[in-house]
Amino acid sequence: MKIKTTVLGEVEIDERQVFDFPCGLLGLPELTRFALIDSGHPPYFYLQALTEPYLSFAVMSPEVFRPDYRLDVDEADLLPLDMEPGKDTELLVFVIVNFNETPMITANLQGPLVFNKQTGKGCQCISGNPEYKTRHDVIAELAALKNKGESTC
Amino acid sequence: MLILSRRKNESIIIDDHIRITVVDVCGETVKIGIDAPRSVQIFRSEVYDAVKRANLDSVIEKKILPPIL
Repeated sequence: MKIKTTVLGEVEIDERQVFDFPCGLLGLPELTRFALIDSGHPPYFYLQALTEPYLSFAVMSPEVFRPDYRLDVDEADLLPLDMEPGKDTELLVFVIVNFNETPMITANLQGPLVFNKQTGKGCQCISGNPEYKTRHDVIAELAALKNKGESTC
Repeated sequence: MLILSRRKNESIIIDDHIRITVVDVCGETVKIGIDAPRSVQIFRSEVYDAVKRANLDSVIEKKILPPIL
């Protein structure tokens, strides 16, 4: 299917890239359908609202700068994903990146996005980990991670 | 805003299926118990507000993705 986006113009996407967010995003409950699109510029993906071409987010895996990232959410928080009980489901986890305040690039580890590829459902959760905030300085944390790696090797 | 006075162990019902109970009152801290269907999302408001603010601030304004790697 073809969709209109402000960031990439008209793009062709596969149905498997479309995710229903029954609860929307926090503060944007009316946005319930998104496409997850590879930006072509790693590590970024676009989360594009299907009904609003101008509304998209840059997202990436939290493991880019937090290899030990854990969701830390209640089982009930993942209900919108329609997971099959008792069955291991592979979930995709992304965090929203903010680069509207460049040179600062921040990532929201407190409100991760979780995607269930099997059901095509997604939701935004709030992590119970008190260490995770809404604006982590990605460049500073990457530099710290690199220094740590060098000092232990 | 509707304001109701409640004592310890008293509760209020919202929309027939959400019960909010004052479990304990200790100085400035009130412990609140919430019985609601699992599908009802419940957040501490300061956390909800912070994530909502971050979402709204992060809508892409420029087409350029700055490299980090």
